[in-house]
Amino acid sequence: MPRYFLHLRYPAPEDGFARDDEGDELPDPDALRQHVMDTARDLMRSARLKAIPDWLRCSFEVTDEAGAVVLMLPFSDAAK
Amino acid sequence: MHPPQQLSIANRLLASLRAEDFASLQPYLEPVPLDMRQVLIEPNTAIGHVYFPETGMSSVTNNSSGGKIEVGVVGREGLVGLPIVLGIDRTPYEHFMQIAGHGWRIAAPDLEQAMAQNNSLHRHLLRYAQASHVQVSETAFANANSDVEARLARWLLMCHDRVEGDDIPLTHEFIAMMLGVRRPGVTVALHVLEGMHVIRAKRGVITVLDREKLEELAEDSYGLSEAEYTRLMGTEP
Repeated sequence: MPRYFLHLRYPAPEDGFARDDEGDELPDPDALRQHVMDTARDLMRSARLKAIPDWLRCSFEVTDEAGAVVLMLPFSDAAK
Repeated sequence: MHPPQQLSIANRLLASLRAEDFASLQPYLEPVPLDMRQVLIEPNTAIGHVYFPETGMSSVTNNSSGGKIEVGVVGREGLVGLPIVLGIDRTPYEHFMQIAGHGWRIAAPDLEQAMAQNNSLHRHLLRYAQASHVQVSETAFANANSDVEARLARWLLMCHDRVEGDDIPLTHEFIAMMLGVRRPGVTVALHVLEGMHVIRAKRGVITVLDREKLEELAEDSYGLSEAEYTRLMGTEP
């Protein structure tokens, strides 16, 4: 199964990019999109972080194993 | 195999027993490797052995949410199999090794018999039961009161207390499961700690660089249960 990496862009004075080196295995693009949506919603619902006062200003940048960006998901889209 | 000598034991609970209490356990203690992911106690199953880790860290988890969420940890400061000390034969929680190590084990009936014959041994282990209860209560407090950064700092400190050296072998996915947070939440928090030069995170290994700062970042979520352990057991955890 292909592995995808969910890097997170977040507003920060410098280097607001949390790189995902571990990734998740997903069977197809639909499953990937659903997984990224679920993850974003779950974070917005329950993850309280000092570094991220507002999840709505974050986005996921998803890459495949070759490093190509395959999906960009602003959290504001996941909140709809 | 020679029986263990109390002076050379790293497990704080065994090391802090009175010499005669230790002697009553000594013939029954068997050295065991504690491998990564090894299950020491299955939920809702009669406990066969009680474990005293020398190194490594075991995790007490609730597995009912599909994944595992950690509710307690045990390393060299304690024992795995507390229900036996309390006269109970099983627990709803799983106990497994999250950081490999080694330790001692004793068959549950042998420990029960030793406690029945030796009140001072039993009383010492009951004091540990209270110390463990305080740790679990502090986890509940941290989960309600603290943000992910502080909870992560506390959790790394608890791991650091129980490993030799400064390297803690852990993936982000694993930490996420243990803290009950999605992995990107942990990755961001680790990224922030790394930016402050408090830790270094490489694939699968977290290195503690500045423990003092980590304690500061854990705010009031770390320290109370460790101080209470020291007060109750007469030795640092």
